[in-house]
Amino acid sequence: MKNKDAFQIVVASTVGPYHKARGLDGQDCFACMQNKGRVVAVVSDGAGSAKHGKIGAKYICEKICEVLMKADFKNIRQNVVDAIEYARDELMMHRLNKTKNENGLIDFSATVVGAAYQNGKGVFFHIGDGAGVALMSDKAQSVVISEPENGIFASETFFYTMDDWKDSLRFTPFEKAQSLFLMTDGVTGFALKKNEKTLEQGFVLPINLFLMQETDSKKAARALKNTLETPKACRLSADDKTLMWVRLK
Amino acid sequence: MENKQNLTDEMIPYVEFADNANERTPCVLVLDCSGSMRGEPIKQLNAGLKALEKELKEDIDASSRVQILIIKACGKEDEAEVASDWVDAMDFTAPVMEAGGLTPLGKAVHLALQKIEAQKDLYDSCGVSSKRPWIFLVSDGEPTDYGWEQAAEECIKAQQNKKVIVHAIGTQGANMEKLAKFSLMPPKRLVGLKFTEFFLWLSRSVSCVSKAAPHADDLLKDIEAWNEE
Repeated sequence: MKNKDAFQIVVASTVGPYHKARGLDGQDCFACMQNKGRVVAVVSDGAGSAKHGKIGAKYICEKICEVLMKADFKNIRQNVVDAIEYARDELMMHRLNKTKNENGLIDFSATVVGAAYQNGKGVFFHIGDGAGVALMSDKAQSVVISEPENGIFASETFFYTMDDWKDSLRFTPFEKAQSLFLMTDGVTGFALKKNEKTLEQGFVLPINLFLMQETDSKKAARALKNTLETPKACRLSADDKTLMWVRLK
Repeated sequence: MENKQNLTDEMIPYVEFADNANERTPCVLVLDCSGSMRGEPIKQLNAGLKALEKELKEDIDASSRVQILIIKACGKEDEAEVASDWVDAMDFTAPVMEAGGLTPLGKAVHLALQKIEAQKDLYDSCGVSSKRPWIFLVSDGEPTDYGWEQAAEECIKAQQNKKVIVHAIGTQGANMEKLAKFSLMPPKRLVGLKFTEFFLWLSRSVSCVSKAAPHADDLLKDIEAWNEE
């Protein structure tokens, strides 16, 4: 039986043409947990250049959900820092980390785009590219965006596995949102305009409207996945694509 | 029970995918198609263009980032004309070139510079960023049009102002001294009729540059497959 108070969550993750053409697995991961009016959602893009990027992406998603679901929401930012440190500690001892210290973390490089929400208040936490979008209404008159952050070169970004990851960790608060979008880099180009600060409404709003109205969660997830796998989407973005949508009210 | 067809047909309606906002790398081929190119040379040039089309389309990154324009220098009236207008590599179809007439390289290069400026304006108006355009000038002879020297100077100035990068390629019979007037870099000499090898190198190079991939400089220097020296 469905819990009427539960947050509705729809997620789709697709392997991009770049990895498909090479017979490789996708490097994106995601996790989401909810309980008693709190929801924690994370997506992560494992670096294609890193040997174990997907493991790095999986660890950060799982550890953040695990830590933040038990955390005191008033100290949520400190708890995000603690969760990332927890994931890093685990990866230092991972069997595939040959150095068994921080030097080996580069092989697990991954980005972080997450959100925690409770009682009408939420916060995005973010390292690297990808994006978070909070819509206050279905017409997007008011939005809060956690923007991608890239380095000097277009293909360079930041990872939680870097030594100076705390310098790249950004928090963006939001309140009274209707719905959230979390996405990896493969989707960002569709959801945000070229300046990466403004919403591409033609992409975000139809998805939001459809998911708000679709009550069959399996059908919603399939439609979202099919949409991200259209030939045009694949042609325009060769990256893996993960998009998580959370209905908050 | 839902069948497989229904599962794959489910789609969110009215979703718009913003047109490719990838940074573009414009690439112009200025090709000498004068009478001296008749026979095997023009055949090999066309085979090379086909190879370029295939290679670029198969490269997932280059296909959406590289834009191609082909200008041919040929004709009795020393004409330069667009053989294939600006197009994303994914939509590029190699034109079939025919040989005949003279070699108006000056007019062809002038047209290339004009088309580049217009395309850069278009990028700006659409908010699309771009890398420095490349011009590949390929000839088996020497310029025959009046005033080609001014066009060559225009070309040099554009390079000095970092508006464009010009590579001059001479095939057998080319006047390398005159070709050198168009580029800040010494012209390269194509071995025999290795157009296909040249265009494959071009595709890989422009792909590499379009991605700002590491070691792009090394690849650009790796011209053994087609360069005589």
